[in-house]
Amino acid sequence: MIQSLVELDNISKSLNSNNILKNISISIERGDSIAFIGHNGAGKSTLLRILGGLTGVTSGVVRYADNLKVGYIPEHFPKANITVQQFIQHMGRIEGMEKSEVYDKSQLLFQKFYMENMQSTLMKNLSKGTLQKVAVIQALLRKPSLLLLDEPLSGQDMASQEVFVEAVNQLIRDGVAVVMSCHEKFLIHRISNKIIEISDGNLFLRSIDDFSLEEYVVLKFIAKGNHLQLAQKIEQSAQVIEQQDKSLKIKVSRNNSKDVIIELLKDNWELREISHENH
Amino acid sequence: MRTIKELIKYYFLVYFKSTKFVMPFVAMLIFLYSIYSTFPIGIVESYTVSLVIAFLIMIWVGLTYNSLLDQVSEQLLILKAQSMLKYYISKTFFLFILAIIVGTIMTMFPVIQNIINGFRIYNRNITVIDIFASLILHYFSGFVGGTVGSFLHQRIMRDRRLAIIITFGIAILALAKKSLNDTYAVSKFITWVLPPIADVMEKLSDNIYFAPKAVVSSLIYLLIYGSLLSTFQIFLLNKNKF
Repeated sequence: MIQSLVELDNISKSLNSNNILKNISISIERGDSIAFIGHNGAGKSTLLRILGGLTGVTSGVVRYADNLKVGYIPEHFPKANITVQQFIQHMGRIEGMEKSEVYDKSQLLFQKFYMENMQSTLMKNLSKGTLQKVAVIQALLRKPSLLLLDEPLSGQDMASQEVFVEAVNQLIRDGVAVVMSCHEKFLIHRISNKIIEISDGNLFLRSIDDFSLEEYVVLKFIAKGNHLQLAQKIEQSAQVIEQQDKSLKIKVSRNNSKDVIIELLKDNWELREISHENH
Repeated sequence: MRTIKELIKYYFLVYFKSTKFVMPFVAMLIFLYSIYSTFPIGIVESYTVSLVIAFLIMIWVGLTYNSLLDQVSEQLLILKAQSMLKYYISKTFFLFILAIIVGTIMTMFPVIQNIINGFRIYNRNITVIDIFASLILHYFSGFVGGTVGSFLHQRIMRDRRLAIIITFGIAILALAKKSLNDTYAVSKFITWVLPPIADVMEKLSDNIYFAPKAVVSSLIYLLIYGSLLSTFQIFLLNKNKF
């Protein structure tokens, strides 16, 4: 029996004769929160799947703790032709939960993630962000020993991102190991205590200090009326303003974003899109 | 066992919420109406044709079932079940249950037709033993069809078009196995790997009643073939993980 949750001992992985992971050794302990970073195709998702026992290795040894329970939030969540409630109920039952337990827990999570009114919606009709919330909810139904996150926030709204970060940090405090493949510095900064870069098939430990960041929000508005002049206050708050006819793209720090949104809504601008940038 | 039961319930929901079952079901009804449109006919003879159709329909079902769950869904289900083996076994059971549904419809359809048509469908009275033998043979013939249809899973053969062509090729060769072996004796060394559907047809043909020996040996053939093929598929899937 091993002490760690998962131990990778000198493992290598080749895909289509391309050696994407080379002689890697790493142990995942309880309470660890590791972020794997690296460019697309570096092998982050493959490494996550190896940790979850879903992918075999070309050489080396992988050891798993007994009764290891792995939760998984994939990057691209499947769009089934069943309702959100049906999906969550079945996932919980497959995990071994009682019907009432799944119901109670899922109601709590639906409420937390602002999805109470979407339980009867078919999953195939959900937006990417909402579908990603379903992915999060299914993973949080029961406390796992190891939680694997593959770009977990893609498309989610800010409020839900906050809920997600809180929920994951609570799990880490409860001793759950979290391993994440992620590009978003903001999330890495909020969740991870160890950052590992995958480059050329090897792992490189990176300092958390490299990830101190300022968070920015990019807002896209459309003018509802003909008044297109921006208030001086807005111009001062913004890092970047791009205005063309009636469309406005504005980049502001996360801290200022709420005030800017309120101000622009008052000035008859309609908010169309919010996205994040981290520097 | 509970996990397997819950997985099967999930497959039922997803499968019947999809449209994947519609075409095989329609094809089955067309075949049934075709077989029983002229009467009177022999019971064993018609049920033998019917179980070949159950085999083909289930090949179709097996093929479409493979595309029901994408890779991410499979990964999630395996992690939820905490066992790859439980996941694969549940899939095999699910195909068997679908074979039971198909087999029951294909056996009971002519029985009901017979009653509606004033017991004129068959050239003799149908007995409980006929129905029972037909049900069991249909179940196992359908099961073999399902395992053949689902065998070339995406992780075993990525090229889906080729997988479909090969699967239907196997189905046709399985039906033509006896003629092949009669024409080219040497082909026996290869055709033994094909599903034993032609062997079952041969055992049952030319009988007015279901001969117990023929039924039991057919069932053993089908059961062994289906189980071995499922086991081999699980072995390959375990080797070719995601």
